[in-house]
Amino acid sequence: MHQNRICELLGIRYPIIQAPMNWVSGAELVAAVSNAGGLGTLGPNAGSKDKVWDVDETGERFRAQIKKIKNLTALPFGANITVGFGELLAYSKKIVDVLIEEAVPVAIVSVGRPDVYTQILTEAGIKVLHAISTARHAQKAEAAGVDAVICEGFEAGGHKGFTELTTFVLTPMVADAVRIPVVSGGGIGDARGMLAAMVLGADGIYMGTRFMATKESYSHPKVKQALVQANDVCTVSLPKDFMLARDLANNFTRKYLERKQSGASPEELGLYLSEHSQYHAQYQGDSDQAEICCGQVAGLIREIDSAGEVVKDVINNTQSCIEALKSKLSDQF
Amino acid sequence: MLKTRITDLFGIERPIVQGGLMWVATSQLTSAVSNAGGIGFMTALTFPEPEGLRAEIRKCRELTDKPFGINLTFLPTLRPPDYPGYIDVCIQEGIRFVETAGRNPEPYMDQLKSAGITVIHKCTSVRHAVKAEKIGCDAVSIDGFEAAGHPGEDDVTTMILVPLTRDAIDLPIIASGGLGDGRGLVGALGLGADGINMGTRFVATQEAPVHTNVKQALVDHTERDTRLIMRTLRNTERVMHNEVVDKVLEIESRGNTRIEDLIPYVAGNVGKGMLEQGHMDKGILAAGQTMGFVNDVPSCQVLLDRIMAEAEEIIKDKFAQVVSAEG
Repeated sequence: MHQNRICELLGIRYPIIQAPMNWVSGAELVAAVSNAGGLGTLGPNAGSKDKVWDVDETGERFRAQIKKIKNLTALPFGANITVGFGELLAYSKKIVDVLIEEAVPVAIVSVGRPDVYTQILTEAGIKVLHAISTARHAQKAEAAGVDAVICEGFEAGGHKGFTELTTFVLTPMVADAVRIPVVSGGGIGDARGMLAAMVLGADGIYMGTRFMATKESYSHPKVKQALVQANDVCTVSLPKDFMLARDLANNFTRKYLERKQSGASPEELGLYLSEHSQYHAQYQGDSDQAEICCGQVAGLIREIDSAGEVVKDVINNTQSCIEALKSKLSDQF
Repeated sequence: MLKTRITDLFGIERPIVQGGLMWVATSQLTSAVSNAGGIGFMTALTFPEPEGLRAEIRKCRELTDKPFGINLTFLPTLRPPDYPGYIDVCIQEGIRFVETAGRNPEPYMDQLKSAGITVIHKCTSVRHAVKAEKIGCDAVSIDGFEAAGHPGEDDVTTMILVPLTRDAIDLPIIASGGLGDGRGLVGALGLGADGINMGTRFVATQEAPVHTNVKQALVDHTERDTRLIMRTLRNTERVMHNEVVDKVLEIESRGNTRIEDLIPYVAGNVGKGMLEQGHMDKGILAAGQTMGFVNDVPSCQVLLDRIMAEAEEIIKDKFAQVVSAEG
């Protein structure tokens, strides 16, 4: 029987990775996904009750969540390292130390170069999955020694590069460009998306927004409700200083774009972002005037299920999608 | 062979459609696609008068005895082309399939349907697909954000548009945008589509009636080499990046863009000249992110044979891996 490369690499049953989400993917969600046979991953700030600008405190809060995950599952899980730059590197360095000290099985590395932490993580026995948005970046990550790449299409929620390549284009281009396993994210919310991503060349899938709308996620109930109500044109892509961010369209995104178009300075925009951040939406529940990172896949979400049910539905329905396709393969003519 | 609602609808062997391509989809390309087992659509507005279309339909009939259709694009212009005249020609010449694009085809539905013509409407959003079903279209062709030409203003990608449209309507669906190989075909079918449409990929074929430089440019450029122009006019077009495109974007970045300022660069005859003469720095070429997969200039027969072979291999072999991974 053929073994899936991502399952083999990560020691998981199903090639489904829950994308780490700022303020959202904490211990309960991570453990629920891992216990269901996928890979749950811890996101920045998840489980915190306030914003903190202290390197050690940030690290210790992250450690507390990791310990909580270990109490809830004996199966592999991951944690997010947002590399960053400048003074933010002190934060990511602390997170790397915590991952190594706590022997977290998998690191999801994003927002930064692959040559910063890959070696130190790999030497500590941690599997490194690096997020990219072009085939060229995938090759650089492979050269830096990462274990797998995660390609994030333009439709994906949250922060990514400016290239705007969609999952349908990026996944096969990356699969052709590297030899290491490829995980595909952006626009996947059900079995149809999983099947398409695997057909396009992915070894596994990466779902964030779908898991945001689950019982175990730390998202505010108002945010989860907004996801259920969202339709196909529910998100916008916000140009920020160094990246694009895909957010649920609301009064926050409207005002941000108005400020940007009327020539607001980077400082003004930065202040506006920090006063209407994901903390205000995801923790405090201001789903209208604050930022909710989320993908176009929100249009496909109709219910708030448990994370385990999401995994189970995707897997069970993939089989019937395959049968439906096989039945189209006819030997007639 | 893949048997889908789209192969049934058109009576063709392969669920692959070459939809309208201004200046490019003439009898030469369209007949080649139909002869290769898919279905081609000739773009009516490539011919300034309905009689020109009639002559081209007759020419196409000489080149193929397989089904083909006509694309009618409804443009938001002050002096509309003679659409009823083009439709009359289609009816008189026994055309059975019409692909409509641009504005809502409702004003022409009676004329088309009473002649027994099957109508496929090109959409860029779920709400347009729902509307198309309501006014009596027989299928929809839906364009993702990654598509060449005019992908609308909503920026929803193929990965999302196809399943959401599948959930919203009962009509057969043709997926379009970002598709150029067997993986794209099976991926789109997996999302719920019944067939695929390709544009950029068909321009880089032996039979496409464009200068060889155009085909080579599609081969040489990558998935990262497209840009969106005319967004400020809410008439967004995805095109191949070149100096003319940079100029247009520079004009748009000044704000308060007027179409008059862009006409010298984006007018149809400028693009037509480039397609014929191959001066790739003198005009604008619609091109999708699919350019990343365009690595050669095959005949339509070779291209479709290859896509179908890839697709069948995926369905027979790759699925075994997906299933066992989940076992």
